[in-house]
Parts: sequence; structure tokens; C-alpha cells
Amino acid sequence: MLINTKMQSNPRSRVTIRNIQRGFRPLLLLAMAACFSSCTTVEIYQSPIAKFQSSVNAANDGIRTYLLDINALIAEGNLYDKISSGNQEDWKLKDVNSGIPDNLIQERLEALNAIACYANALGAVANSQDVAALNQAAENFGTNVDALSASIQSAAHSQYAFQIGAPLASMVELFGTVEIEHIQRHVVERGIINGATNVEHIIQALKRDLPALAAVGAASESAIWDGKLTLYNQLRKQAATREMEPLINQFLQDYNRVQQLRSLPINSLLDDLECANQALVSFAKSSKAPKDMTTLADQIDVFADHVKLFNHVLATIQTSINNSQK
Amino acid sequence: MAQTDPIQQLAATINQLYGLAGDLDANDPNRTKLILQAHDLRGDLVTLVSMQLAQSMSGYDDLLAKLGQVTDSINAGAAQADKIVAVVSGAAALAASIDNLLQQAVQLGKTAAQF
Repeated sequence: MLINTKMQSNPRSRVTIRNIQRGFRPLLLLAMAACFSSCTTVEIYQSPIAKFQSSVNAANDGIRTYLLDINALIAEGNLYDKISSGNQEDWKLKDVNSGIPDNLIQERLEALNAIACYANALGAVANSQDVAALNQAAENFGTNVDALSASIQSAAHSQYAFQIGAPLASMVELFGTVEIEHIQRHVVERGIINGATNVEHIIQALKRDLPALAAVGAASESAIWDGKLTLYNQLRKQAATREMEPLINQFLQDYNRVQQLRSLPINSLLDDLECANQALVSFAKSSKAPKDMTTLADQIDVFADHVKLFNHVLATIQTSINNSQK
Repeated sequence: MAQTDPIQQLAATINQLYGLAGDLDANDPNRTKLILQAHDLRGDLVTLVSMQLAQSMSGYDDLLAKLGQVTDSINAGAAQADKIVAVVSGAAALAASIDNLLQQAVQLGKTAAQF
């Protein structure tokens, strides 16, 4: 330190240092290039992130459809309760508007949306084609990671809020125009690691809340089923022999729809989302060279398959409702 | 043994009551009683879940713990489908207990809000 100060105070020494620095610059760039060429690039992340992104979006769509239907199920259950209990009272407004307050459902939808935006922003960073696009994507990614905090706050978990997005965009500027694939990898890894805590907390909050909503949905399905059973028995008593077969078919179709809705695997779907995200974080943190893709690929595949199954069941239920309304 | 979530436990009880009602003839008076109790409990379930989502109620955890205790008794009765009368009266007692717990929770929330 003392030597440096002495050298810098001498004008001749300063020229020498500048010359040395100039001489070192090409060597430094060569060393960086050599380091980067031996490192893995963002390419290794592109496929799992793309699959994670599409699965998170598909799960978001499926769960959204289900949550938006909860209050309709509660209302339907109330009306069918009047039928099955022989209650002759008129249908009242309270029968159809005594569900879960809309703002509470909306908060969960926003939390789901925040995770989908995070996955989309991660995908945009991993697939940026040039530095300008990467800069924009990193900034956007940072904003989305920060938005996760806002989402947690809105879900009344303010103690979990962090502001972590800002450093991501500055990272791109810091590395400048060095090979884009390497900067991308750094931004992706930093983003996944920084976002991990918030994503995990949102998933935990959803894992606590969505099964409770699903329980309300299942209980309402039971009410609907009892009401339908009452109506089917009345129809059966009035039906002619030739009308029995279509009546039985319709009855079984309704029964299957209720059973499928009751068994929608929301809890395990969220477990798989959590495992896929944790695998992504472990992969980003891993210093193994080359990185081992197996666990990450497996976890994301399990999640992707589960989402497909979940949405398939929802689509089947929707088709059966549409058919029964024809 | 893993502790059952009281909300899931209450939902299971409601499903059992509807299930029992579905196996009775339409003109059986117990069927109507079961449906009415199930309907009341379903309303309580909606209230409890709304409270959980809002996390605005002081004493919510205590409420859930007590709820776990009262649902245990009805589940034991509902397991024996031949004792419908016991189930109906058990469900009525359960609904009364939950209403009482909800009132206590609301009162606790008001008291907490004053401080």
C-alpha cells in the first residue's frame, strides 16, 4: 500500500504503471475469454427454463380457472341444498353471494400470476439474442422478482418482503459486451438464486391457502351432488321405460364430474411446482463442472406431467358440463 | 401421527354428512336434518376459510385447535352409518360449537383491535 502510494506520487512511475496496465489489458481480455470459453453458457439453462416457464403458465391457467369457479360452486351448492332439504323458501340473493370475498381470491390469483411473470421473465433473459435485449430482459426480470415481494405483501405476509431485483440489470452493464451467452448465464443464475426465497414463500402461502379453497369446493360439490340426486330420483319416478337409459347415462356423467372435481390434485401440483423450483435453484447454485442436469430435468418433467394431468381433468370436466348443457 | 388440518377435517365431516344423506330415502326426515346441518357447517367452513385467507382474526390458531377437537367427535359418529340419529345430533352439536367458537373469535378480534 505504501509502495503504491509512493509510486503513484512519482510522475515517471505513473507513466510506467499506465504502460503496464495497457500491456496487461489484452492479456486480461485473453484470460477472461479463456475462462469464459471453458465455462458453461446459458444454453444449458434454456431447455429446462423453457419447460419450467410453459408448465408454470399452464398451471397458472388451470388453477385460475378453478379458483374463479369456487364462488359459483358455493352458490350452486346453496341452491341445491334447498332442493335436497325440501326447503320451499324462495331463492334469495344471499344464496348466491355468500361465498369467499372476491378480493381474497384475487390476491391468490395475483400471487399465482407473479410466479408466472417471474418464469416468463426468466425465459426472456435466457433467450435474449443481443446485449440490448438482454439488458431490457434483465431489467424486466428484476422488476418481476421485486413484484414477487409486492405479491407476498398483498397476501398479508409482509415479513417476507425483499427487494432484490435491481442488481440484475446492472450486472449486464457491468459485463458490457463480453460474450452474451456467458453474461446470460450469470444473470440467470443470480436471478434464480435471488428470487428463490420469494418464490418459495409464495408457493408456501399458496400451499396453505389453495387446499382450504379446494376443501370448500369439494364440500360444495357434495351439496350439488345431493341436490342432483334428489332431482334424478324425481325424474326417475316420472320417466317412461325408454327414457331410463339416457337418464342413467346423464346421472353417471354428473357423478363422474363431481368425483373428478373432488379429486383435483391441487396440493400435489403445488408440491411439484415447489420441487421444480428448488431443483432450478440447486442447479444454479451448483459449482459442479459440468453441471448435472439429471435431477433438474426429472423434477421439471414431473411438474410438467402433473400440470398436463391437472389441466386434462379440468378440460374433461368442462367438456362434460358443455355436453350436459346441450 | 400427522395432525389433520382442522379445515380439511371439517370439510371431510361435511362430505360425510352429505354422503349419509344421499344414502337415505327422500322421505326420511333424517335426510332433511342431515342436509340442513351440512348446509350450516358448509357456511361455517366458508367463514373459516375466508378468515384464514384474510388472516385478520386474532386467536385464529386457537380457534382451529378447538375446531379440531370438536370435529373428532362427529367423525367418530359418522363412521357408523347405522347410528344416523347420533350423527344428526352430533352434527347439530358441532355446528353450535363452531358458531360459538366463531363468535368468540370475532370478540377476540374486536378486543385486539381496541389495543
